[in-house]
Amino acid sequence: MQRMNFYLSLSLIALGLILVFWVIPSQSASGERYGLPPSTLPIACTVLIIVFSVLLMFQNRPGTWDKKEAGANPLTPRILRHIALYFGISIAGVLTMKYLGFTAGGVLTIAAAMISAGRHSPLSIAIWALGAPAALYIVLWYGLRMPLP
Amino acid sequence: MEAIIAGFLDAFTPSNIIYLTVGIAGGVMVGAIPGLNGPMAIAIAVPLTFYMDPLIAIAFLVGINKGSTFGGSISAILLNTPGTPEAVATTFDGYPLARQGKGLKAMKMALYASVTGDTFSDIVLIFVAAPIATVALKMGPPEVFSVIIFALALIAALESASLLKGLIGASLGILVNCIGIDPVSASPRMTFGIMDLQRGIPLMAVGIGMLALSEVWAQLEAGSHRKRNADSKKQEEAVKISAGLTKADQRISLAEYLKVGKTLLRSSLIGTAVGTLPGLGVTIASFLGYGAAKRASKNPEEFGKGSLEGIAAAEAANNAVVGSNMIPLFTLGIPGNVVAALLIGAFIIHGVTPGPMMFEESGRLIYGIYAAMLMANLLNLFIGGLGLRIFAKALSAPRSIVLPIIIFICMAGAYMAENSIFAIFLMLIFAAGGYFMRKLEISFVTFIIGFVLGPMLELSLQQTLIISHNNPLIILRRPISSAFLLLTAFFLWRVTRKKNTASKGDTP
Repeated sequence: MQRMNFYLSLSLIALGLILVFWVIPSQSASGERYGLPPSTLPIACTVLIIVFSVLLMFQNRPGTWDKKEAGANPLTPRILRHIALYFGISIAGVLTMKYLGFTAGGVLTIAAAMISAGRHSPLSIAIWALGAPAALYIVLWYGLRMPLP
Repeated sequence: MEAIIAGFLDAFTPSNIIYLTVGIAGGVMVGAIPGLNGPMAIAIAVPLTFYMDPLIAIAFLVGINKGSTFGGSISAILLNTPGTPEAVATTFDGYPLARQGKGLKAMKMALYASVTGDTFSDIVLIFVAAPIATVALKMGPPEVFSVIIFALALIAALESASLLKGLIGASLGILVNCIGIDPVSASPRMTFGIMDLQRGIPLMAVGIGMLALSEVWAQLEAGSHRKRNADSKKQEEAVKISAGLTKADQRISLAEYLKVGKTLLRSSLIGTAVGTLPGLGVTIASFLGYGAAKRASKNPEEFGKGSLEGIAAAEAANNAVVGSNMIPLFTLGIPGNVVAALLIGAFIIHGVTPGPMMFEESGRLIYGIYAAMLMANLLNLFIGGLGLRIFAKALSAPRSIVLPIIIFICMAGAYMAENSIFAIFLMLIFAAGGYFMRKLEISFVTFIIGFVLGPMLELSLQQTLIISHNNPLIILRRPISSAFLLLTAFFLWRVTRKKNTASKGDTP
């Protein structure tokens, strides 16, 4: 984790510098005004992030790495593939929901997620992927009168 | 007095009782399933309360919180896996007692202890909140600013494994909340020209994404990892509640309940005290309560082997946090934990701003909430007592079915919160952010609390500068605000020193 903390702190410092010198000044109104300028709190927070990240980087500098921990990596390629998969399933579900409706988005999302989670029985997938969105639609639309896509 | 009576009468309506019942039953079910928890359920449930009356909405969410805090003990006792983090201490004696064939007895003790602790802290809340709010009303912007800084520092240090990462999380949360319209000049700030961002980042997108969806993704990833590891030890099977139990093994007698009376009182006091302070968390309360009970017990050797006193101590303490957690929320508008942060969102949705003015402007609502909280404890006792066997069946719900459905419910919840597909995209981004924060051990709880407190912090700073004619040193000149800043500095120094001493001790 020490190695990861070191690289994390470097990334945060880089992000912080980009925010302070480019993003926040270009994305906030300037000029005379009463009270705090709009960019004050964002810049203050970013400066704090940079300062804390520098301290974190110092705390986890390469010379202090424990041999056992140096190789530990909480973000393995397997984990990154996993997050990409479920993020992708969710995005596909949202887009389906936007263009084909609430129930269609639900069917796709639940079916794809169940298959990814290791469920292989077509009957089980069909029952839950069709039943859960339908039940939720009935409860939300007719029961709670909530607007749905 | 009229407000108190009116508030209590408002709470005792059939619709309120129905929603409380649904909330508690749902909360127990969610708490019982390992991997799901109360904050996740509350984050998803908040959008469902849009069209409800404010009292019913808050009562429903409080019901989920209370139910889930007790529900975690069910899997702790039957599966030796806490359903929620605060039920870890319950496994120490709950599971061994279940292995002796007394699972139902253990769960009933957990239920009675939970209700006792919860009721105790609700009563403390009722008597203590109004006087504290009266004092809080005398606080000016510099004092509010320094109290928020103190709360954020406390939460960052206690909720996070690393103080620096906790402070980074809190700062990130405040920064992200700056996206939207500047509150004074009404000019867009960090919106990148996206119209949908001008309304700011919705709290529900952050809450549902980071608390619920990122947890579901982590659970699915852990599940697939378990399947790949063929040599991992076999998961313990749930202890079944057998049909042929003696009466003594199925119930807690009055004598057994009274025998643990001192333990219940001690744990309730500990839990209430812990809940009052922001950041300490429910898990700490349960461990402190358990440890104190073991030290004070005449038979400490029985702890860890199925002691009813051990179960009572852990459960009373962790449930006693629920009511007292509302004290900083109601009196100062500062959430002490992530549930309180989500409740702030619920209050704001219903047009109520949490804080000391709530007692002046919405007194009837406050007393209605008090009555609903007390009623929730009775309903928890009733529902828990009747449905323990049913809730125990929730343990066998296959995750490959439950978790995908929750993904979809999260998406529906994010849409309902803002009536916008864009909100779902934001929710997914925060879910990914929350997932990475879990892996990198940056506390997303401090992020969420920083996000919630950001506007209050900025407003108090703005007001401080206005009243002092742009002189920030006024914060150091006023005794209460400077005292809180000194406390913050002292506290951070102590935590840093303690961690440095601990790490030097680990070095060979």
